[in-house]
Amino acid sequence: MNYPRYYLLLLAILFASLDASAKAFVIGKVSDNPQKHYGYLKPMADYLAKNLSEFGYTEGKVLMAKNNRQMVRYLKRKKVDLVTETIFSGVIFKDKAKAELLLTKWKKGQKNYESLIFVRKDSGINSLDDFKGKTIAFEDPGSTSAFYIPAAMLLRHGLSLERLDSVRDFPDEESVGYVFSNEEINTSTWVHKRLVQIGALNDHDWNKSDHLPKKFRDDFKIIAKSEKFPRGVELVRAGMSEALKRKIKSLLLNIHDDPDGVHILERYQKTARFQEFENNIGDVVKEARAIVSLVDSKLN
Amino acid sequence: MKPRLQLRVARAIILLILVIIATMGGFLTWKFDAATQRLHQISESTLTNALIEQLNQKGVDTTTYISETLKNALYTYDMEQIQQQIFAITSQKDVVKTSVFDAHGKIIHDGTELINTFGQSIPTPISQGLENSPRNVFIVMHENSIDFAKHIYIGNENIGGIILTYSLEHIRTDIEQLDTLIFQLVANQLQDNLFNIATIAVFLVFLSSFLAWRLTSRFVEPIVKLSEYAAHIGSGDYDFEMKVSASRDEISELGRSFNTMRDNLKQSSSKINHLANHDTLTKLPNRRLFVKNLDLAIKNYQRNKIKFSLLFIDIDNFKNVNDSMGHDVGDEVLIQVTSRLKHSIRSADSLLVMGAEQTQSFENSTVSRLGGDEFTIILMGVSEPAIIAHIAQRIITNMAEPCKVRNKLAYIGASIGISIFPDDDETSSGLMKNADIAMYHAKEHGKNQYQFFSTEINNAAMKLLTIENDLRTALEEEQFCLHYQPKLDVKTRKIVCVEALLRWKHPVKGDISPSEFIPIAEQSGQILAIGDWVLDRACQQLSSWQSTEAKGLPVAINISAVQLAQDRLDEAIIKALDKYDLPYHLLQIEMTETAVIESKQDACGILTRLSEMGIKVWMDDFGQGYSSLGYLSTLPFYGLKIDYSFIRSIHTEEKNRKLCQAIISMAHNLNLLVVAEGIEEQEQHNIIEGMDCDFAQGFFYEKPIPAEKLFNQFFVDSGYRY
Repeated sequence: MNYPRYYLLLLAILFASLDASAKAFVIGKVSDNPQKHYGYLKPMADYLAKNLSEFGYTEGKVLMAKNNRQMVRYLKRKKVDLVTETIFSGVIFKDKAKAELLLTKWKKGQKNYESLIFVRKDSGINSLDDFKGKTIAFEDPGSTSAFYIPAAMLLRHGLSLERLDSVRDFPDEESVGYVFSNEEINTSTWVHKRLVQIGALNDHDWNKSDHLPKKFRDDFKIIAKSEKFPRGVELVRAGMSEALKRKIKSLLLNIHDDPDGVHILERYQKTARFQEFENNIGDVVKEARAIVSLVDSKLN
Repeated sequence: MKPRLQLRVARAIILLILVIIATMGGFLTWKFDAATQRLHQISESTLTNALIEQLNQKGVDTTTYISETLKNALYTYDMEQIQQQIFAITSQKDVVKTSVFDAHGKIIHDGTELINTFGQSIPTPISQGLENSPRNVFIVMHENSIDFAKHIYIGNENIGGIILTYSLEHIRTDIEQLDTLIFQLVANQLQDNLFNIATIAVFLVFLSSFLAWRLTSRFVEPIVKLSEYAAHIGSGDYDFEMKVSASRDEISELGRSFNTMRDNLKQSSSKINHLANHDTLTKLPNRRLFVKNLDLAIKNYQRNKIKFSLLFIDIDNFKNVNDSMGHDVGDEVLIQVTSRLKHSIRSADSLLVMGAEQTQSFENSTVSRLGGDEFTIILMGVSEPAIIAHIAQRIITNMAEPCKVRNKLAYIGASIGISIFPDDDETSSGLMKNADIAMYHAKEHGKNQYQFFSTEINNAAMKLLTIENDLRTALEEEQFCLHYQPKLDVKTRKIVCVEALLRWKHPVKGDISPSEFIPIAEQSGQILAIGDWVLDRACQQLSSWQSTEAKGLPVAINISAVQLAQDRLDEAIIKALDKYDLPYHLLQIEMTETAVIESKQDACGILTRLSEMGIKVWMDDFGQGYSSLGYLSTLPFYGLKIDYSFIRSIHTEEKNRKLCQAIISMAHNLNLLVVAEGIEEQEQHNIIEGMDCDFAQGFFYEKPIPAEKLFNQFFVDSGYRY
């Protein structure tokens, strides 16, 4: 008997078992507030890891990325297994990291959402044609519903957008100035207090009083609405086995029926349920990709 | 005796102390209160200042801090951030308002959701104040709040500012709470103080009460004693000596004065006592002391069974002596009588052979003068009639000696009534009355006698007394009436006059003889009223007759010595006649010689005046008594009436017949008319007719009869006309 050979075998088995015991299921998200989002995502990561033990997962983990680019890197390195994002970010991850769109997520109970462009009723602005020389407040440069979509709407309408440093600045008479308010409440307040003339919010925020107090809303009118986009999407990294993908899909689709899963869903950005993509998902992805492309090319 | 004065004085002192303690307590409490109030005020203002200073510091710090943290949010108009920052500040309880404004001084946020103040300018004082000190916190004080304002810079660019308004309400509340706390503390302290003061006060009150009681008792005790002694003196007890301390204080002085006063009072009291109980002239016990002694003797009998006798002595003839020799002599006589009475008792010692104890008791016997000429002697331990009689006789004998006063001799005597205790009566008044009755009896029986009280003389006296009593009502109840007995002319046997005779028809005892009641009435003086009545009634009768056949018939009335003794008898008679408008000659008067003598008044004058007025005066009962011829000649008598004792036996006794003849002859010689009264038989009539007697009266002709009957008989039936 050759003892050194046994040793090698034993070492191999030991490493393998060590590897297996350390394997974690990772959910990733782009976040500027990792502490907040960690609490949302960790239970779901644990839930999935527990139910995917057959695939060797022993724990759930959360990994936040500062921006889409970092997330793309994480996906490429397979540091994350599941990403929860907007359709716009999802398109980027799909295009750049070969990530795979898995399911649509009823984030905050909503299946879809749309962007709204609004002004004060007494502003004298009645259509997009009146926007020249005015300033619009978007939320932030990463926002889909409060930047990409409305900006694309303006651009497609033939308006030129001029980035302003501050609400105190004024745009060229032929352009529409835009500023980022960073918060929905800033957007609505600025419009209401006439710091800017136009605001953009998604329909969900429009109806939330902490983002748009009812009193303010009464003074506003909606000038334009975008088409509807899925509220949220789940993506899996490239290179995941079909069995695992199926299993994850199956778990997520049924989680709202699992008594243990309901609380986890609630934590998971108040998700009502997960759903298979509808048939036009391809168009939606295209449109999103077009919007992103348009806005990025014109404004960034 | 309750020490009321002490109580009052002690009470006053205690009250005073109480007032002082209460005042001091009140003053201390007031002072404490004032001090705590001052402390309160000082602490409040200090505290207010400190708290405001503290708030200022906090405001400045917070404003400075927030102006730093707000820089970015303000610069970017990040309303969310601004609101969060404001929220962080307004969560401090004192901050009531926050305003964030832009470089133009316009408010862009006030921390509320709707930012209602958006676009408003900040107050001018603040904007001006900030212009003056652009880099500092500008502070504006208001009534109930403080504003802290500061510009916010990025580099050197002024991008706006912040105003924090702090409320002073919490400070005020804190101060109020502290106030309440201090007030409570002070109140507790005050309560403690009050309790302490009250405790001390109670202690002091007890202490002062005790001391006040001790102190006042020192002063009041002698006064209480004085008061007790004064009460003794008040009740006439002088036999005590008040103990006076040797010290020379006022109370001792008072005590000494008190003793002196007591001595003086004792002296004057005994003087007064003596005066009250003794006769000033004779120095003998007076009636007052006598009665007291008599009562003592009776009480003494009840204890020691020692009998005694009472001698009631009336000095005979003393009134005469007094009247004739003067009161000075009378007084002298009484003094001599006193010494004789005393002597009589003393010398009576030798008479006593009864035993030593009798002698002993006898020494206690006292002579008293009741007044006037009345004396009494109580003979203690003497109840044997034989011994009493002996002593009484000795007194009478001694009294019979004439008193020699200023070389004149006064003749007096003594009538003595004797009653024995307890044989004759057991009361002092009864004993005196009995002795008095006995004495009167003795007097009536000829004076210079002694008389033991007996049932018989008592009965007689009682009878007299009854009559005397009945007489009082007799006049009022018209029990009297007048009967008229005619006087006839002896020769013609015609009526010449009627004598009015008083008749008493007693409602129970029937007819009472005048001889029975007239002397009593004379003695009691009632005769005066009766005399007046008789006079009036006689005049009335005369008056009624004047319109009849009896017109001109005179009526004679009897006048007693007592009446005659009246000063104005003549005036009374004339007045009565005038009342009925009668001629004076229709009334005639009859009076005895004795009456004239006894009256002692100016009887002569009265009678003269009456006779001058035409009223005829007759001498009644001539032949009795002195039958003084002198009177007959000097007094203006119209005639005389021969006493019926001569007429009664005129037909049987020659001596009386001769006497009558002599009287008649004498009277005629003196120009006096003569009436023979008491003619009861024809024989008597015949004799006096033979003697040439003028008028006659008697049952032979007619007894005294009522006026009506007389009128009918003499003026209607016979048709006789006077």
